[in-house]
Amino acid sequence: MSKMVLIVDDSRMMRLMVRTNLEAAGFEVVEAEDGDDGIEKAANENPDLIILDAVMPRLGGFDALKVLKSDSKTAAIPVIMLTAQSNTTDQIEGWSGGASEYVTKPFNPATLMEIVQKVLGEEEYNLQKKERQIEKLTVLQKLKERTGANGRSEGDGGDR
Amino acid sequence: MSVDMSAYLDIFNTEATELLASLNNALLALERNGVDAVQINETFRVAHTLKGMAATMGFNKMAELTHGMEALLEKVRKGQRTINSELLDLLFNCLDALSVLLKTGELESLEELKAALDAASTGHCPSESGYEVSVKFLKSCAMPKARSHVVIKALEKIATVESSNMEELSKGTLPDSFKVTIRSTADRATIESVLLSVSEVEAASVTRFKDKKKPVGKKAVGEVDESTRQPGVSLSETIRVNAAHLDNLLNLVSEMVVNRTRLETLVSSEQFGSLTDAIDELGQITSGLQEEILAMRMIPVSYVFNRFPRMVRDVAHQLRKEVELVIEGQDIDLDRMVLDEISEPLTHLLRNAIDHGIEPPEIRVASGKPRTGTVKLSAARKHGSVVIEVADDGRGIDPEKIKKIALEKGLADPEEIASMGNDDCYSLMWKPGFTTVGKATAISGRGVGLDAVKDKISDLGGILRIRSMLGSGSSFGLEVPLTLALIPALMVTVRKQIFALPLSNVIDIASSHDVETHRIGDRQVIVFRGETIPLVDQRAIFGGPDPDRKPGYVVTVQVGDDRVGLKVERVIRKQEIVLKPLTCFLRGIKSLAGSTVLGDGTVALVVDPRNLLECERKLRGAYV
Repeated sequence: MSKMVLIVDDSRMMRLMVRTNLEAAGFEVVEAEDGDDGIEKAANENPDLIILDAVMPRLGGFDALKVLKSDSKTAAIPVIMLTAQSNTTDQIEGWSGGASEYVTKPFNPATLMEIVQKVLGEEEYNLQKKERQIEKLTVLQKLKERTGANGRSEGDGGDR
Repeated sequence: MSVDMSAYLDIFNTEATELLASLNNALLALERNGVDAVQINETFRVAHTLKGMAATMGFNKMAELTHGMEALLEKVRKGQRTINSELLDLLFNCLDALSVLLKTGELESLEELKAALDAASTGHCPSESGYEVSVKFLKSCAMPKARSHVVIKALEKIATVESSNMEELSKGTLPDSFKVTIRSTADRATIESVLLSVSEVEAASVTRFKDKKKPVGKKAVGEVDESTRQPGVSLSETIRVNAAHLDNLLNLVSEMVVNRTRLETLVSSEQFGSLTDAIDELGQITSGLQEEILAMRMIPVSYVFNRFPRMVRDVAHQLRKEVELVIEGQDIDLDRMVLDEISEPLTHLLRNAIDHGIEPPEIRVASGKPRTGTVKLSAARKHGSVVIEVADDGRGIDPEKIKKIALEKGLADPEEIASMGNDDCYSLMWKPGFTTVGKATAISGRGVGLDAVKDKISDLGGILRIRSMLGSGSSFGLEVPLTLALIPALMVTVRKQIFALPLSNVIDIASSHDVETHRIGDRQVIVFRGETIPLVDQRAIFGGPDPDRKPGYVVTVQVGDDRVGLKVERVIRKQEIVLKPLTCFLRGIKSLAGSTVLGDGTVALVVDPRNLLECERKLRGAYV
């Protein structure tokens, strides 16, 4: 199943440009034209990734990022900030707000695609790591069950 | 890797144009209302978005300019700079420059603007002003020329010297004073003290070119002007369609409507039972489709109106007049083609209103009027048409002056002029060659006069109306059709040939038995509701002498305030027609507006009611 990316940008041109490149790479794309719209679509569509502009009418990108990261429904969705806001303070705001990547306009579509893949790949990696962790824990659990009290005492000992 | 950006050029242009319009509105609102956080944010957002778009497209000049604007506006947002008229002028200049860049990709003043933006945002040096400096040397001064060099040197420490009348000094003919034009960030007092510090200088005066640089404060304006609001269409409700596709679609539907009529004709003569139901349904579908597509062509007049607040501001500034533009009915829809066509005439009428209508502030105050003049631009629906009015509360038009000029220029028969009422004589103003101002000004005299406006409106099948009250203002009303695509028409026959008369002009149909016909001199007239109106017979549209005097019908047609009776043989029915232009060899016939294809495939000619009266006048000379 193809992955879904939500683009939040007030410029139609930017949305079209990012969409064209994402679709060519096999992604499904959803668009939003400001922060409010973006938050709503993120909650409803549950995308795999959000590409977020900073300066937009009504709710701006940095504020939208805060909302997205504070809502349990959307907090796990990785966000790439894509903005012409290139000064350091803004970048810090983006990073500290929980953005996975910060790309400044003008951007090279090919580079953006690489970053998208990387972020999604990391996500994938994290997911796999998590799965492996769960697997490991399950095996451990089973092992514990088999060894009985022995295992438990081992665990208790570890806690102290 | 190089990326092909040309695919995004169209959308870039459209969006950038829209952003510039928003920027314009935001700046106008800032100018009117003073500091306004919402508008400052909007201005910042537009500059920022445009910067991102331009940079991505590789349009570096635009990106650099918008970057400068963004930096300045960021300071304004943070309260480190305050919005004043100098700053607004600079931003307006940037806006103009961006429009130029968008159109041509080139800009001469780019570096200048960038420097000015930079200076304005760093604030270390306020933006430069132009000064004219005049220095008077002591009579005892032996070498004024050498002294003037010293003056220049002194000035160069604090200013950029642009020009001087040094040449005159060197010719030996001593002018009264040594004059220098400079640009400087220093204030007048500083410049004066520098000048007076030069020895042998008796007196010095410094005058600023533009002396109206005062900060813009909160103005006591009741409500935010309609004009600054965004058009009443929310983006989610609109889609962008290439106009050519719409036109094709409309053509197809029009053909379908014609085809439907043809089927209807066939069915009514052969009487196929069940086919009738199907045809009825087809009729409903095509009508629905037709309405829908016509609606798609309609756009709110705000599309054109939105550009006027800035224009009015600039024209008023240039003419040193104080004008407030009030816009009403901007959500009224009009066919995009009609709207396109009236944009230029409206610009002309607005310029006229400010240039010729609104008086200078002092004169207004002296005559007991408010200092600021009002120009009202309004749109309203009226039956099948839209009335757009440009009204001012200025000096009004003097009928006597109009008559006098028309007489002097020989624009009309002296007798005719003498018999004209006040309202009639305004029509003299759109005679070619009429202009009340001796010299054409840069503002409204651009080679297009009111005659051009009148012609344009007439081409659209519209009417221009002028009303005026001397001393209290004038109003120019344009009545234009809602759409040019489909016209309801009355089908009539003249000499067995079918003609279409636009139904919007038909006010009455009567059997010729019931119509009183009289002859006054060489013209035939009828009495219609107590009013005597000229009667035009088929000769006007068909040519040749009237062959027989068989009874028929008289259709009364109204164009503007003029009425005329038209003699026809038969009245067939009401029908919607698609107006097609005439082929080139028929195009010279003034009484015809075009042709149309009827249900049975035959061609009918469409009468242009506006020219009937004129044709009737010509005929009197030719045949009687």
